[in-house]
Amino acid sequence: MRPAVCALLFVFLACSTAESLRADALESKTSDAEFPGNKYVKARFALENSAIAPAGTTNLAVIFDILPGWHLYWRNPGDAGLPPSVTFTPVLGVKFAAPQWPAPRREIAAGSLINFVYERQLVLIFPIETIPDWSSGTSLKISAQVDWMVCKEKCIPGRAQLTSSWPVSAGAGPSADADVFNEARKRHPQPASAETSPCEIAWNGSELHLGVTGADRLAFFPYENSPNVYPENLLYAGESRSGALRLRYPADVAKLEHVAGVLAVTRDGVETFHEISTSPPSAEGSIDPVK
Amino acid sequence: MTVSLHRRWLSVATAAAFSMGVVNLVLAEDKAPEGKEKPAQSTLKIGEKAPSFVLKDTDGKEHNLADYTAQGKIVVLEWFNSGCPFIKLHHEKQSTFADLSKEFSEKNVVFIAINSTNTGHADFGKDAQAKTDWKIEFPILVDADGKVGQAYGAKTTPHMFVIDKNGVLAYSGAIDNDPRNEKSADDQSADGKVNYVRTALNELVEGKPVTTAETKPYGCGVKY
Repeated sequence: MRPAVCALLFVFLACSTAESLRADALESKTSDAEFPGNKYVKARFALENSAIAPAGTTNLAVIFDILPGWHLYWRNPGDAGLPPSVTFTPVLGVKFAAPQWPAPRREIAAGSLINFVYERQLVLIFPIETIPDWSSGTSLKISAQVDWMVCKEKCIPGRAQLTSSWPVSAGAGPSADADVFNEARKRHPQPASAETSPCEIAWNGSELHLGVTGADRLAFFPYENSPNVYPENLLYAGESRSGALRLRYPADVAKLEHVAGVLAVTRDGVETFHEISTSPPSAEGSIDPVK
Repeated sequence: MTVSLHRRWLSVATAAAFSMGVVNLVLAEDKAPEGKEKPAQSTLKIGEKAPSFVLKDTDGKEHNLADYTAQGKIVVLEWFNSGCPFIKLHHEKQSTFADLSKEFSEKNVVFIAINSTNTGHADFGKDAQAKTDWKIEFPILVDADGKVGQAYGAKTTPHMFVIDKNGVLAYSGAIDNDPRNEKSADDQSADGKVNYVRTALNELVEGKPVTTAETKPYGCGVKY
């Protein structure tokens, strides 16, 4: 259900400072009966700067505050669940980029299900790009329908209609929410192409070896959910208390074209995150370590 | 099946090693976290014989998979939990299962729901009520110790399994490609709604191989 225009329902959201958010407060009709998940999650917009740049990129976030004990899901939720979705109302001259997902944590449910979840707070950053069509001084209104599945022992759907207006002006400084953005970035994975990636990647038949010298702990979070691109032993072997991880893929390696995901690395008590992007050796190719 | 967990793990490992054609040397690394007993993990694959079961429905009547196979029926299993929003989506908001079972009622297809929710969970014991409220015309079987769920590797509610008339697993995965209920069945493009079970059943009824035999299921986790 993707509304082309704003729905009739608005939800008033408390904001932490006057500067960060000026929400339209109208009578709430997003009934909690239909969306009981609204009791456990509050969603709001936040802007990194105090105004939107008239030409270029500004960072907007949807911040989800989650009641303790409950969790939301990552872009790949794992065995069960569903990631939150944000559908922006189109605005002429504005491009909404894909969200930047912070690294999740593993959760083992019912002994045999592995899920990738967020607790307490999820900050989903959306870079927004404005084309130089705006003059300083105008304001920009952004609206989105936000849907989520929040779970504890049960999974419950939630929905919020967010809408905010911000001034458009060049050279605006950080907003009161800027720290939230910086904190969120600590859990963004470094790109696979990064020169400084400490990750060693090697294939041995249909087994993927990931290694980081000196690491105390590794955990792998695959991006894809489909059966072909999913390690068979992810439940326990997807995490290791050492610098080495071995992921066993289905033996029919010909079906497996590409493996991508996030490797969480703990070294000397510090956790860092690195994107992994690798293809198994082709049927006739040799097995070379790929960096 | 009343094999001990240890025996079951051994037989699963042997089956895995045999099917992969290599000795499973990495067993030693698959250690469960300390203190946690590792549950039996299904390695059931498409094309293999579906695990047998005998379970009671909400009226106390027993259902044996072998009986249905002996009658030459195609069997559709739906892992079920009335407390799950995704189950509500297909039994309440849409009539996905009612429509499907009606569509294939004359084609030797049997629909069965199985609930593996453990007895301690808040969602347990609500099947009879759901059957009445949602007017479900097929049996809901109670698998409270989760053995059948674990044998099939059922992860979500719903998680669909289609077993052909020879008792072989022909489809495993999601009911459709639309967990958010935002696609249109009228849309014939790649973005349209696809019911994987309907497609598989049509192919099986026509004696054709199932083209999409496996998808990743969506739903709430099974509450083992």
